[in-house]
Amino acid sequence: MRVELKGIKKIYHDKVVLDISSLGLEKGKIYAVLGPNGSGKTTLLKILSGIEKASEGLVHYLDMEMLQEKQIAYMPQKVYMFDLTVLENTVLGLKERKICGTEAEKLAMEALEQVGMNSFSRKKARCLSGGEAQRVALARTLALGKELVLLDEPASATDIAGVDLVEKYICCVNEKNGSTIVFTTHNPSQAARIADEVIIMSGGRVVEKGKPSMVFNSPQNQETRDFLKSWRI
Amino acid sequence: MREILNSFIEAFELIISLDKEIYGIILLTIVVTVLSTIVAAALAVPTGIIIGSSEFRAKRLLIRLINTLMGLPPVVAGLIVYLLLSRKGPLGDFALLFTPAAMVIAQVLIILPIITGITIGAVKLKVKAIRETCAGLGLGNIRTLFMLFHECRYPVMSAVMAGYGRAIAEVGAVMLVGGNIQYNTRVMTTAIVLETGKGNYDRALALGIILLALSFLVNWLLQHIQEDL
Repeated sequence: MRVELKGIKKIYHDKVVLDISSLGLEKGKIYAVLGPNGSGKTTLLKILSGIEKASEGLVHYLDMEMLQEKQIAYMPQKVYMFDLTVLENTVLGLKERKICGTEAEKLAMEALEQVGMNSFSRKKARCLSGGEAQRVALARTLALGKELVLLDEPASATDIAGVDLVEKYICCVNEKNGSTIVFTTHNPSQAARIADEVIIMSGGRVVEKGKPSMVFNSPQNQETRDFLKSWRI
Repeated sequence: MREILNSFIEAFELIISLDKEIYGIILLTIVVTVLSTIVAAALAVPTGIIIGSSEFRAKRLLIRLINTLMGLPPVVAGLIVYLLLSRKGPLGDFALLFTPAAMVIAQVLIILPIITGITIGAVKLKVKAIRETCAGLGLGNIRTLFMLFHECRYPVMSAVMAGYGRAIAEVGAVMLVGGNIQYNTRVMTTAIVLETGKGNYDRALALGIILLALSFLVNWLLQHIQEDL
């Protein structure tokens, strides 16, 4: 077990938005976090990334190197592209890891190729469409090769062809680097395609967790059934 | 109408006359306003970025105070600097009163809250998205602040331009702390006040036209720099 959340609570303006008594994430697995809007998916990712602090409880990174060496990468739901070229945006995090020059550019170009954005490398990132920017943001995050990768709706604005590339790249990074990947999605089909386990959230709580086939075919919880009702898997 | 036309002719004559006094006034105006803008920007931009991107208890109070000071009457700023620099004041030993340095200090005091306030506003709009993105990529605090400046550079330049505009148009403070001394602390605005007082409306208006042209020139230059950034 690499990451363990115990008694995590996040309170905004006297309202509990996240309440997780216990949740464990194993090394090298892909987790899909599903749930309706406002169920606490983004807050969970932000707390895991360390961007936000929990009001109560602890996140244990059992391999302590993870925090000390900044082994966490996070892609926010609202993608922000810096006023730089696509390539400059992609090498930004690599430079911080002391990977510079041609080596950084090579890694960045490889990542961009994986998401089908290599031909845009010299373009201004601000000129990209929402879906294109999302793919660049994914390449920028996954190129870092971190141990724990947190992706908040990584393909929500991407077209069908793009979604296929994004999913393949997530699986590729997971296999190649052995990264633990946690991504949020509203799409159970996507979760079923690439996740080892799904985490269903509702009202800030984890209501169900398990293999996609198990959770989607025989949900144990009414809230999971309600969420899945509108989807055909 | 005739008076305005005469003023334009006189302004043109003043420029081509190579009048030493006029050119001295123009030069001093440029030196004082540009210097005060540079000093104020060097202090205000980092301060604005730090206040805008940080969370601390008195933040809202501080921003309200800065916003209030954005409308600080120049005469009040001039009076404060006058009292500080006067012979009996705490900084009297430096003998800066009625020198261009005192004028720069007064103008810095006036435009500092303007540049800081506008910078804070620009940073507040983008800080959340930039900080999340930088944190997600593992960028350190200094690099995050640099990225924040990079992303806010256009509104920050506008803030500096607004500060410069305030400095070049200002008359009350420089009159108080500079004293409008001929060949020493007389700038365009104080010269206009003097000429108007003497009833030389044509000359006052001509100086006004030169001041406007000067302001346009510096703004054009700053705009050019902004486009290159």
